[in-house]
Amino acid sequence: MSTLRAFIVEDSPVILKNLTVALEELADLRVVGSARSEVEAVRGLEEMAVDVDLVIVDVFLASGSGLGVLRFAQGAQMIAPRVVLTNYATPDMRKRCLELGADRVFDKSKDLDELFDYCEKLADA
Amino acid sequence: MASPLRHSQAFQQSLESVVRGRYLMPIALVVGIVAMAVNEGIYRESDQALSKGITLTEARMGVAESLQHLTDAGLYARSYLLAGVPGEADRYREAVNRMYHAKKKTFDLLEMLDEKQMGSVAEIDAKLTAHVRAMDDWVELLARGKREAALQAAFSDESLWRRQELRTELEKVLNIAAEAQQNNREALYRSLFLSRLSVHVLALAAILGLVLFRRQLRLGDEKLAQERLLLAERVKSRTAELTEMATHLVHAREDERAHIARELHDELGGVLTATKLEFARLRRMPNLPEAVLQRIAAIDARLSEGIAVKRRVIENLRPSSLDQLGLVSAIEILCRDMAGVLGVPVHAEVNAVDVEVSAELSLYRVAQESLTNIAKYALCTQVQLQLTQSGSVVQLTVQDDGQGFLPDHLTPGRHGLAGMRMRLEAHGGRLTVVSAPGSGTIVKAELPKMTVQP
Repeated sequence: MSTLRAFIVEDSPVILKNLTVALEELADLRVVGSARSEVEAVRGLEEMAVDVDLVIVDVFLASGSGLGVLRFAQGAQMIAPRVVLTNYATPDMRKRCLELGADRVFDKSKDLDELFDYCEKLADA
Repeated sequence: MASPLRHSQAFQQSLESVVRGRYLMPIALVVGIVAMAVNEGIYRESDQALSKGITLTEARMGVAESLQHLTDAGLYARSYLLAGVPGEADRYREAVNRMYHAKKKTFDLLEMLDEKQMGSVAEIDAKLTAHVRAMDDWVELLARGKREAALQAAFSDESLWRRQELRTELEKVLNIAAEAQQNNREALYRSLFLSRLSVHVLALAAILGLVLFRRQLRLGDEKLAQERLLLAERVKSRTAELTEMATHLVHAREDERAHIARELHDELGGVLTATKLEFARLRRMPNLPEAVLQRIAAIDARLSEGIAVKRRVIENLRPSSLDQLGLVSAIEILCRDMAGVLGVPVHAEVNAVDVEVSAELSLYRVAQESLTNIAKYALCTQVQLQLTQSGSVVQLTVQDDGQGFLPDHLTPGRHGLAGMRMRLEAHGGRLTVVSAPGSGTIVKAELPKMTVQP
């Protein structure tokens, strides 16, 4: 069992930093890459597609949309699961994300523990 | 070379200034009065000349008649002297009477004419009377039986000479009268000529006046049309300016809202979520007392409430669904949410349409505003929303079966209708509101389809 390699797509530096620290602390996980925009994320994922075990995507980005990142990953038939971490986990948004190949959708305001659990589980698997 | 042209132009200009100026009316009035006075004068003169001509003719005829009767009297007198037939004496007297009668009439006419050239009528009258008295003397002498003396007197040189003189005098009067009549005729012709001239001048002036008047009318019309065109142009440009300003305001407002939403999301959202993450880590620290965990959970719950408030504020400022999920989904979500708020079904038929991103926002806002108005005022049992595209027109219709209102009686600026209208006009579209008390409301927004950019 090796350490889970995660790629985070998040436009807020504060959240990115805290999320990285929290995830690395709470799960056997290492953040290997991050991106702030859709374009950046797509480029990053193209580069390290096989070297990533988990992609965590925020829907709202500095430019572009997390949905575009999901669409790219789906189109590229990435093996690594994608999860969405967003402030706007409305039923419609959830539905759309799942349609675009997201494994899970977490609400930033209330599903953080579930995200950690998910990561832990994935790392243990 | 250009000099005559310039002159004519200058004349035209000065003429025009006269026509346009306030002197036209007085000038026309003066010309009219002068023409009337001239014509009236000419008429009077002609009338006088004509009656004078007639009088002169009569006078000439009277002179001729007098002469004839005088000659007749002379002949009858001599005939009586030679033949001694009393009937001849009677004829003589009749001729003398006729002569006197004709003479009196003629002299009256001549006096009436008061022609100085006629010479002394009295002198002729005296000679005439003397001649008649001489003839009377012959007849008298014969009556008294002095036939020889009478014959001698009647055929004397003196008598012949006197008769001759009288005839010459009368012929002189005749000639003078003829001359006067000739002058009179010439004066009449002059008057007639003047009259003709004045009529021609007046007719020409009238034609010129009419031409100028028509020209002025035409120029006035042209000027009016020009001004109307200018006004329309100004209204158009002003409308364009206003539309542009409205567009600017709408965009500025939306930009501002988007900016605030962005700030709230980026800064506040980041801090709140980061705090949330900190709490998650804190909670997972080992060996925390149960009381601390409970406190942490309570604070975490407050934090979640704060995040929910922030999210609602951001959503109100700028619908995230529109950016993320597109217009169709955003409007569908809006309808679903509003159905919950209204408590009545909102039937939505939302099709994909080709409009610009800013126009998408406007359509969304129209839908939002309409549904908000329905929630506030309509008291309906159901709502129908349609977004369709047919040809080059994109149409959004929101219809309710509520209490309706009189669109003309609506306070401007309320219900956001003016705002909606402004938004749509900014995109080259329009808003139509059909409503009446008791028969619901239809809000129809129309926009041109996006033109494909090469």
